[in-house]
Amino acid sequence: MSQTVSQLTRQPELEILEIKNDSIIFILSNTDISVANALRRVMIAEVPTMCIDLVEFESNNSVLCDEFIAHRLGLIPLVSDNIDKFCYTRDCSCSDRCDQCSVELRLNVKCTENRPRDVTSSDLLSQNSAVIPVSSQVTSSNSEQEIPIVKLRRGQEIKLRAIAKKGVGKEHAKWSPSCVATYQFQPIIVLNQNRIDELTDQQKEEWVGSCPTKVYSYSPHQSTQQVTIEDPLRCVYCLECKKKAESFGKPDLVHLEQKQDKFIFTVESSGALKPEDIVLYAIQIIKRKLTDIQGQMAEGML
Amino acid sequence: MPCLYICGECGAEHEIKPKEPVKCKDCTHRIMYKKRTDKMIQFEAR
Repeated sequence: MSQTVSQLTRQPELEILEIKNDSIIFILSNTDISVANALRRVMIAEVPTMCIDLVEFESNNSVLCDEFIAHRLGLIPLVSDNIDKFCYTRDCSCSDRCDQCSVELRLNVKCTENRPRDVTSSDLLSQNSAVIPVSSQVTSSNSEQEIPIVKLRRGQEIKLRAIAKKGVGKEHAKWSPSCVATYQFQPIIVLNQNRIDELTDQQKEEWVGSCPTKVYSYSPHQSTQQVTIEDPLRCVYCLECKKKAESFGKPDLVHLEQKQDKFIFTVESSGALKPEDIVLYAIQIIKRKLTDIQGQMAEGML
Repeated sequence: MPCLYICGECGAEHEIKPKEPVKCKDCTHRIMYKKRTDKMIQFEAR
């Protein structure tokens, strides 16, 4: 072996394209699919958040039954920015539960008016001001963001205590911080302009229209009259354009390829964590898993 | 503790003992509903 380990290791690179309040787009390059997929799976299933896990009903004479409301409460995302300060209830030193491993929320609503009362996530009052329903955050306090729980008629009442615990998405999907976590390969689309020029205007339009995700654009009224690539990232590799080109007898009209070492990630947050934090936590978790293996291996070889 | 049931017709509350017919003592209606417990009930939110 002439190569050393340092020559074989690659330095993965991460380039952020866009960060919004609830989503992030970045390019991961110089690494394998296995790494990209591990990152994706960890972001979905292993980044911890807080979620309501136990619901204690004192009274409920609404139209929805207790277990129905309990399930709905479980699915409400809670702000989990300080998740590191909490520990899992099973690892906690307390016997049942304590402030270190759980947060108590209360819901106590009675309808006294003649019109129906909407009970929403903003009626949930948390004992810990940092762990609140996502919609109750100060930055997004418009009523459209509130999550409906149940509607009450006059005289109906709901009174309960909900206990939020720390958990991960692989135990139950409600703990998953990401709504969408996907990656795509960078598409390489090369048009053969000479072949395109051989097509009639009608054929050009037909060929551009063959793409279901509208990767190409062409308008016969433009002065240039060129077929152009509008957005290569829209390509889903359905190869419809290739088939169309073949039906025109010009199989070399377009060249399509997936660049297998660049991964374009799109991560959308449920609001529980900031999208960039989801990525950072995921990388931390992968690193911790690898060091654990390293430690175990070293121990085993002694 | 007596087990109270609510009549589906007149809404009266009656106790029904074991082996007694399920029947409202006021209006003889045969559909009776069990009352919700006063105790706290716990559910898993999943």
